[in-house]
Amino acid sequence: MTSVFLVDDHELFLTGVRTELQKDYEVVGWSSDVDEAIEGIRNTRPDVVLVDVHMPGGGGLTVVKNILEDEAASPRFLALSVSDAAEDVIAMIRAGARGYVTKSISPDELVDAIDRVDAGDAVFSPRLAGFVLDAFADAVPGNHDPELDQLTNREQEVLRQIARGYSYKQVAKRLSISVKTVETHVSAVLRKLQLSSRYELARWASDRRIV
Amino acid sequence: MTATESTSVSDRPTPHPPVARPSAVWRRSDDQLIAGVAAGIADRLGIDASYIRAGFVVLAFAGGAGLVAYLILWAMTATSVRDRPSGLVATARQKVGLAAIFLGLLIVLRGWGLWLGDAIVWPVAFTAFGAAVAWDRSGRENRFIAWAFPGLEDDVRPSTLKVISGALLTFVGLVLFASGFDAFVQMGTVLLAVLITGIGLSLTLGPWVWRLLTDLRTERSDRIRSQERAEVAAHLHDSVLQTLALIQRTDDPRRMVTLARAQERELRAWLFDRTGDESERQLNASLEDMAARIESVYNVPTDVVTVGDAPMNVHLEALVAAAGEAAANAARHSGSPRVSIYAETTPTTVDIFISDQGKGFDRESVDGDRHGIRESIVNRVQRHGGTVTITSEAGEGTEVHLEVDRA
Repeated sequence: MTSVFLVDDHELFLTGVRTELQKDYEVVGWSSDVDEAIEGIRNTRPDVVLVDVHMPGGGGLTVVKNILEDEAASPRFLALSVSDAAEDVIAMIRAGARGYVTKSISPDELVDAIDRVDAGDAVFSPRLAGFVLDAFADAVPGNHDPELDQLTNREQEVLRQIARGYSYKQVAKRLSISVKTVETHVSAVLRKLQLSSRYELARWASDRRIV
Repeated sequence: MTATESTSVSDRPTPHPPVARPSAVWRRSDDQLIAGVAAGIADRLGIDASYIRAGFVVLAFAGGAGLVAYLILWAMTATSVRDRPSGLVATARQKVGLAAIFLGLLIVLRGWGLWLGDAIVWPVAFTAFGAAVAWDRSGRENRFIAWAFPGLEDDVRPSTLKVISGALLTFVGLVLFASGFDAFVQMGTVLLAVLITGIGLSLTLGPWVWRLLTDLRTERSDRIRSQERAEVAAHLHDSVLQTLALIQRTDDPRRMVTLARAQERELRAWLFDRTGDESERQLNASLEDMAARIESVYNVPTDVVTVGDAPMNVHLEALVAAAGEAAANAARHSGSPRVSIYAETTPTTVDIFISDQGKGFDRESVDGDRHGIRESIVNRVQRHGGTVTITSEAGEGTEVHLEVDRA
């Protein structure tokens, strides 16, 4: 069974999600404090960490960066937040989170997202897909790495479908491709998002001091 | 037996002084020019810190003794932020005593040769203590206001007296200083007088002006802060608290979700945008508003995702209205748990997709009785030069695609 660690400073929410997830996962630990969470994750070595973005003491960003910095077999992070401000989303993804969902997500969708992250895929909510399309929208002049600074037509097409609210399976059907191909495209976008030096991303990153 | 006796003895309340006197000198981190040493000593002695500061200045000229003393005290003391101990105010006799000790110290230092010369130290002493008298803060707050507007407070005379005597001492010190050096004497009487007056005025009045400005600044930021707090409180009361009350009175879970989502949307808009300027309306904001309306009318969650943005115009108004109609249809007829709206604005076109995961429909079979689609969606968009594509399949949901060129 997949082991999950929860990090959220909102006790009520933490309790709710814990109860919800206990059916499907082994919840190995939870914490509402950044330092405690880092230690807990190191001790319990979970498969997936659900991490809140906004917390006192540096927030989820600190947790993700600390763990990914010096852990060989690191867990996969799924960011969870009430905020869907673009800079939060982009900062978490660039720090290494493999997905981002808002807290209003339904329990079934959350389980689906955790499974996907656990399998090594990326989880793009419609809103995150919108942000990414926005950030990569205009052609930027200058010496950029086209490999990283632009989305291919197919990637854009997949993101547009996700932004319109379709699940990966529906996207695959609508574009007449396999679900695996959809996942490959989304993972490629995630990689570009993490490595690209595009101005918009760099600015978000530098605003958040993650570079 | 002896043990119980001794216990009963120690149980007896021992008399404590009502106010614990400070046992040592604490540096004051809340009232410091350099490190708060002078303010700390002033606390201990019960006099105004200005005098202590003046003393350090004069002693600094007396062969650097003041500097050394300051540094030693700095190293030996700890910091504290606390109120000036009340009731600890030096009497006039104590003040005279302190002055005598200080004078004696100066003379001793002069005898040892730790001295920069009579022409410097004595004028500096006069000037420094003149300024200290004028700066004396013991007593009422807002001294300068009281002094400048005597009508505002009754007890004005002592401070006025202090200003005048302080200013006199300062000027005497400055004149003594100037007369001690040939360079100044040669400057000419008028220039010298102007110079001395300028320095004297800034020494005596400078701190007041400074304090007045600080007070005004503090007051202003306090006022802004309290205004903002009141605004936030008022807003939360009108919105969040009302919604929470409504939710408590609702039995229908769907209605609760709708209320919560509407409130979340509204609060988010207030927290993150706070742009209520109607003349500068943007497409994305209009779509959000439209979605909020759909959601509150039909109790179906309606999500909006946007890429790019554009200022509103008549064409876009029509487009948003048509999108609203499509979203309303989806919410009303499709049975889908949610409606998704996706808008992509490029420099040349605006595309809006309204998708649901509901039961879908066969357009041919409903065209006759559904004037809504033909009239309020297709024709409306076409009048503004746009196109409408409706894709629907039984069991697979419906997608309405609206597109217009940006003229």
